[in-house]
Amino acid sequence: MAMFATISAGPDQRCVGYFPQACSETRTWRASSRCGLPLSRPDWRDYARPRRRGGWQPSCFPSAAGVAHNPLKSWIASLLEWRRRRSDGPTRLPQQVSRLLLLFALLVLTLIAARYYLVPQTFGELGHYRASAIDDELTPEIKYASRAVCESCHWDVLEVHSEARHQSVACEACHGPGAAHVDAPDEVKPFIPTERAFCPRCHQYDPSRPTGFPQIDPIAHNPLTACVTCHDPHAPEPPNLPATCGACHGEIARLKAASHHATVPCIQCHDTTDEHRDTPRTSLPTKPTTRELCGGCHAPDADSSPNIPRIQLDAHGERYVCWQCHYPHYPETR
Amino acid sequence: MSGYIYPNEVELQWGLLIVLYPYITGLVAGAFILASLERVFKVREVEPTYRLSLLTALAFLLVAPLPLLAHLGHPERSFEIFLTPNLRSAMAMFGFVYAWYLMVVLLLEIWFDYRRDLVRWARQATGVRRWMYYLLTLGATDLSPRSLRFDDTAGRVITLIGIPSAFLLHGYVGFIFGSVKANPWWSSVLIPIVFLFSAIVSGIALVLVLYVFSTLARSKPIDMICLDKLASFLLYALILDFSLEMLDFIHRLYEAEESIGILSELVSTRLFLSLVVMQVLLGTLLPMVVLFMVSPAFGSRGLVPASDELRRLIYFGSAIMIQIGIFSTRWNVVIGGQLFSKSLRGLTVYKLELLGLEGFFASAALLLTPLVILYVLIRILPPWGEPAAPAAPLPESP
Amino acid sequence: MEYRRDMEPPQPDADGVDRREFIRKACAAGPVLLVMAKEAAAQPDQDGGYDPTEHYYGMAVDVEKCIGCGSCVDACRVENDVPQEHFRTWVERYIIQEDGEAVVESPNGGASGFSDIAAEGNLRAFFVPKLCNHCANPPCVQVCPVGATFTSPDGVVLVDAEYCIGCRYCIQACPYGARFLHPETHVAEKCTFCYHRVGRGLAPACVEVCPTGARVFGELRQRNSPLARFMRFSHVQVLKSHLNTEPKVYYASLDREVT
Repeated sequence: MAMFATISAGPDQRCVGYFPQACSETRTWRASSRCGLPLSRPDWRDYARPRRRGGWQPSCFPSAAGVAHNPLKSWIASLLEWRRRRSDGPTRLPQQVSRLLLLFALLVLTLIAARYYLVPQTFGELGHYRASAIDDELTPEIKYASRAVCESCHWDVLEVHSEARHQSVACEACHGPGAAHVDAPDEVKPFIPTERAFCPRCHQYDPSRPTGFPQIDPIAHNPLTACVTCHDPHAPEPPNLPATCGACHGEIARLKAASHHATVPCIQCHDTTDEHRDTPRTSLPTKPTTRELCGGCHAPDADSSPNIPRIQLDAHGERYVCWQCHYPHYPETR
Repeated sequence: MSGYIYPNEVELQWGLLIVLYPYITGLVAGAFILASLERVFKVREVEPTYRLSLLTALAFLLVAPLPLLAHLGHPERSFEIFLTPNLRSAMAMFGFVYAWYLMVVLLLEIWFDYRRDLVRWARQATGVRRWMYYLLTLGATDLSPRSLRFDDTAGRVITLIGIPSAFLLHGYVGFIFGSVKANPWWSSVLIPIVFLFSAIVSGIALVLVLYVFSTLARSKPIDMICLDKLASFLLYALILDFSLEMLDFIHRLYEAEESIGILSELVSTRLFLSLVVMQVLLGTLLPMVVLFMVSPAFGSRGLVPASDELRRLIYFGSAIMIQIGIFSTRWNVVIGGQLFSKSLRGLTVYKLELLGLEGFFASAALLLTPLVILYVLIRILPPWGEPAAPAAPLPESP
Repeated sequence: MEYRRDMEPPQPDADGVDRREFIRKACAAGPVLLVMAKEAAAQPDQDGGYDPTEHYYGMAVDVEKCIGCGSCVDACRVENDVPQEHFRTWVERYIIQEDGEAVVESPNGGASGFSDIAAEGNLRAFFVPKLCNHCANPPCVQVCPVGATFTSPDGVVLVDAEYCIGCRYCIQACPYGARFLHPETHVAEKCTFCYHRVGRGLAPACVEVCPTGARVFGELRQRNSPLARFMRFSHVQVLKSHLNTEPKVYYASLDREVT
């Protein structure tokens, strides 16, 4: 703070500031800035601390009344003094800045007001979203009642249905949305499918459908007869079990029928119980596990038609099993 | 439509309006960078275009939010971006970056640069114009040397802040696309950078076109030194831009990720015309070669000596082609990114309508609006130093 | 075959005894009580109704069980008033040909079933139901500029239709194509796990009507929930796992061709 004026202080002088400096050469007091209290002349060494590198660290000295100066107050006084001197001169706040600050303050106030009034009440309670939106999502009407509700009235149907083959099929999968019927059971009746065109939606043969899923060819399977004639929709066990493997495994059957294995019956390679025709997924047929099975016809010493190609079981195909290269249902291809 | 697209992808979500937005903010950023060349980097030759580029940037910036508002499903709720921005979303930055750039950078810079003239015009004009100019000065009519020095310093500081702000204004748009990991055409670290450099290219090209056009319209001689310098910077930016785009292209081909099949099919079928022909050949390579030949960018004279008229013609033509090329760039990014399915198995088409807010005519109107606004701005704040209502002949301000 | 309300119910028996009448009267108390209970549950409020913080939902799909009937797509459309040509859920068919190429199709989202495929030239084919995956690290929530789409405390990603501005950024950010813009309300929309049903203790409509049980819905964090049991006993995958969106719809027996 080199701008302080320095004057020599005599015995009648008043302190002019916070940082009296003791001149190390003349040993006279130099007072700087103003605090207005009368100076006293004790030994300056009592009030100055030696600096590490020589010279004297100035410090404020007490007035004659013995009241110590408040360094903070004096410092603030000198700061205001400095600002006052600066604002007199050429470094006041530019007009542009004050105008722009005003404009900016207006804008910020508008934004704050907008934020206060326009942000929805529940925004931010659970996360960065309007918490009442969750309630909004919970309010729409339901259209499908669920099978538990159907059961409360139609328990007799469900008693049969829950143990039959359509047990995984919900009531409303065929009968359509039922909530309206639950609300007004007499006025609103659900749809009851009876047309033949309804069931093939699930049961029409499609090779994309999983193997073992009951499928029929709607054109060939009892044409012009309504499905419900033979199959009770709630207990759709077919009146006759499938006669051939190809009834469900049509893709494989068709492929095999055009191949060299056309006359090989399915059960020659796959041990199948009768239950498999009734509950296919719980009574699975076996699949061959060893090369010896194929060797039953294809080994050199096998008791089979001479037209069947023979291979050396232990040499042919290294360590792979036969069906890793030959598709058994169409062995001409790989 | 070919192959398989997800059932919900039949309709493209972002159409022509969203192509407009990065194009317009790119022009803004580019024009501002050009202005900063003079102010911060002291490239004195382009001084005649300084105020023009600022006004151009302002005109286009004022129009920039319009395509977005037109596209929103609920534009009346658009203020929500200011009130509850999701800080993890790049798009939420739009409100703040736009407001910052408009108010703190562009308007302030123009105001500080024009303040002296505004005060002068306010004193000379009469009637409504007088009040208009006085309002524009915001009451800060001090024209003392200290005040004018403050204007100059403030202008330089704002331009210095403005350069990264301009980068942010356009770069965040690139980040909006570049950060979408669901879309392999967009998801790239280079997209914000490529956007930025193509923005600089388009901004310089636009100011070049406007400068030539406005100078001819005022029947004044074209400053060829200025024009040569503009063309040089255009060429530098073009080379950088092309290198970055080629880097992106080569990088994609080299890494050959899962999406390379469908993207190659996209570029060779749906985007052949707009990307290979319009963006690369006509929009980048041809102007680059032509500018390289005649502009004094890498020497005191071009490789092929050309007369002033020929150079002017070539510069003007290149700038127009560049505009078309950069527009195609934006088209290829925005529309191109939606022409293939996220299943990576199929392509679809964009059906551009003629009428309606998302139609061709609406977008054409939105592109012409900034030129109209620029005309109005030039009338109110002439960038060529002639006073709006001269009471007495005054020297042209430098 | 579409469900139509004007279909006539069967007529009572010829001898005048209406079995339905009898049964209905016999359990007259049941529906009355049930309707009362349904009414009580119909307005779940935060005081005594559904508490989202007590649940955490996910779904599993068993690709081997799906028969491509499209009942789920229909039920979702009815339950949630989904506009035509837009889908909250859909079924895709993948046909793996003999040369290894996969052909994918989803005619009308699978709502009306699928057409015949050629008997020759195809190795195998299967159906894959798709829907919003309600990701734990959702890119759609990340990019929403205003906070209109969010993950509820029970793990369901929802859209606030009153707050959405329709910028469509979330639709761009979804890697699974699960979102769309509603053509009338002009806000983003997608599968909500039938939140209005889940809040009443019901299953989503698609899970309810699936005839083979290919869709499994339940709590992810309770060991005795059907979903947790399914995931324990199956090898499950998620779609586009390399994007790290952490989907909560888990697919069993998913083929590598499914994108």
